[in-house]
Amino acid sequence: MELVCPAGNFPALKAAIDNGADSVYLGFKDETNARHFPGLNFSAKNISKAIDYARAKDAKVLVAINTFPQPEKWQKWADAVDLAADSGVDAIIVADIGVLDYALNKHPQLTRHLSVQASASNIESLNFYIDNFGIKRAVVPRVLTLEQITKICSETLIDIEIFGFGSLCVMAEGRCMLSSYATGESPNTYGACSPANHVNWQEKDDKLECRLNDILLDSYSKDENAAYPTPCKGRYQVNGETSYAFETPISLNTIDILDQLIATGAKALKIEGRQRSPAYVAKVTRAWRMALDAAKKPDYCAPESATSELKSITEGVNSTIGPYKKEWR
Amino acid sequence: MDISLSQIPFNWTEKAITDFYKEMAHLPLGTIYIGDTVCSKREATISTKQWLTIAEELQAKGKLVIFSTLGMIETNPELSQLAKTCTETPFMLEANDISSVNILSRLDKEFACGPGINIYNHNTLNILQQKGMVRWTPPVELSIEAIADIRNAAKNTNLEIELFAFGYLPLAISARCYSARQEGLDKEHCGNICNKTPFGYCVDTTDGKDFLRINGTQTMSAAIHNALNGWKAAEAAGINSLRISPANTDMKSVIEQTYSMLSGNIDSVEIELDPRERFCDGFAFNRAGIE
Repeated sequence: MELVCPAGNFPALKAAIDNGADSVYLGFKDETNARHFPGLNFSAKNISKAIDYARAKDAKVLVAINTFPQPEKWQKWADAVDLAADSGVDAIIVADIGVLDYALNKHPQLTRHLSVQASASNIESLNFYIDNFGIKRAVVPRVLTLEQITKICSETLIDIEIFGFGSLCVMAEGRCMLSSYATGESPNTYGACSPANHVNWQEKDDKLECRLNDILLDSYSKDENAAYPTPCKGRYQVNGETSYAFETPISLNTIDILDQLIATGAKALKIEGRQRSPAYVAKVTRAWRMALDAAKKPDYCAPESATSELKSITEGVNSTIGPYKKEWR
Repeated sequence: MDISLSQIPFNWTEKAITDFYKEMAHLPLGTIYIGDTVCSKREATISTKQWLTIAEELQAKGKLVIFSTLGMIETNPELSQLAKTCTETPFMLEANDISSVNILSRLDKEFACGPGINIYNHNTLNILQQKGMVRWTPPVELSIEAIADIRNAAKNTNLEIELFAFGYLPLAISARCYSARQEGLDKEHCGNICNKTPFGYCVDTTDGKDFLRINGTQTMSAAIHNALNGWKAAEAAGINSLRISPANTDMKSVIEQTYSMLSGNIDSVEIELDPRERFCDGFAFNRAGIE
């Protein structure tokens, strides 16, 4: 199984490759990708440096161009596809039908992956993208169970990529407008969920309040860990009771069921976290490299050192195997 | 400018559904969407066969009937049901997942694309038109201006465009059922609990402001999006129809007033809301949806 790791910048890319990533995925410095955060991503200049480094270490570079352009800014997405093709990246990861079509016609030789943002959750959807745009791989949304992924893998010849670790979107990706409902900017339109300029932290009566465009998402007591404020992981009142109505500030960690993930037939495992530091990327990649190597032998058991490494970076944030198990639903 | 009635987003009882359409059949609506887009388990409430009877009755009253299909397809039984619906239904279908587009274009049938299909630009629009799309309700986060930009850049403007102009905004879809979660259940063993809440569950912030609304696997706006009074801007943008979605208010009055406004008899639609309800219209005018 191919280990696909996040690279928010060049040091993170090095960290991922040096610690055992088979591939790294990254985006350009604009809203053409779904991690459009200040200080992140690659310019035209350092994309070639990134590719040179990856080539020297036999790793692949995948470029996410996975947001949805509107007519006025269409050229930015076309330029991003051209830049990826001209730089010689191994594949682009695309969600928008128009962008896929552009890539197919302008750069037919450039390998196209379907982004999770396209939210293709069944074989008919995948076939739409395979038949019309020749995608070679699809990242499937974090809504499917192991059973459903197994079925999809058995029904298609293209590679299926699944998420193994990191932030967990609880809504189907590319189909969530909670962020734009709150702020006017969403992953689809702006390339970010809960853009940082709309987030406000404030101490109030022994509590730490977190607001998104003045909407109170959570209020943490001193002994609670504060999480990045996405609307799906806020604490709200429903029927007079306060709870995490959608999901707790939890992250995805599948290390204990890695053998089951491999058994689905999925060919690649994605680690979320382009917004994370190089140190984080190094640790996570090291842990998953160990786990994947361990899984090559029979009777897989998550290596102790990998498990504790992952625990050390999640800092008390709980983890889940999420939708892979039916009961999560 | 036409008025269309969006499908009922919630899991109402069979009686509530049939009573509702009996009333709607007499109102000045050009198009009526029927069916459910949220959850395949809602077939327990009302079957495809019963929907077809409702559709025939509405058609006999001169309405264009469009059958809305599920917003997210995950299981093979859902996929088989979808294929059967697409093949056998003698009415136009609305795709809300790209799987439906694939099936309908293979069958060479004309179809509508609902707000669940990600069409954000003219190039995507062109391709889906080539596949057979003849009606389009854009994603709800696109403003009237953004819709106009897409239409103006499109190759073929022979397309009915609808603006989601009234109702709770469909904001997200998940594999997890939040209605079941509210009741301490999971989706597998939900017992169709969402039929207990005709307008879902309101999700308020802990400082008492309305924010979201739970409707099974769907998350909606707590507020009722109301862009009806922006109809002239919509018309100038090339939009052909105002799409009105059933909400917790006097729908008959909403539709009749909208018709009067479009006929030039009144200047604006004025609706009195239950104290728990509130309007928003941000998405239509390039602002945060909640505003």
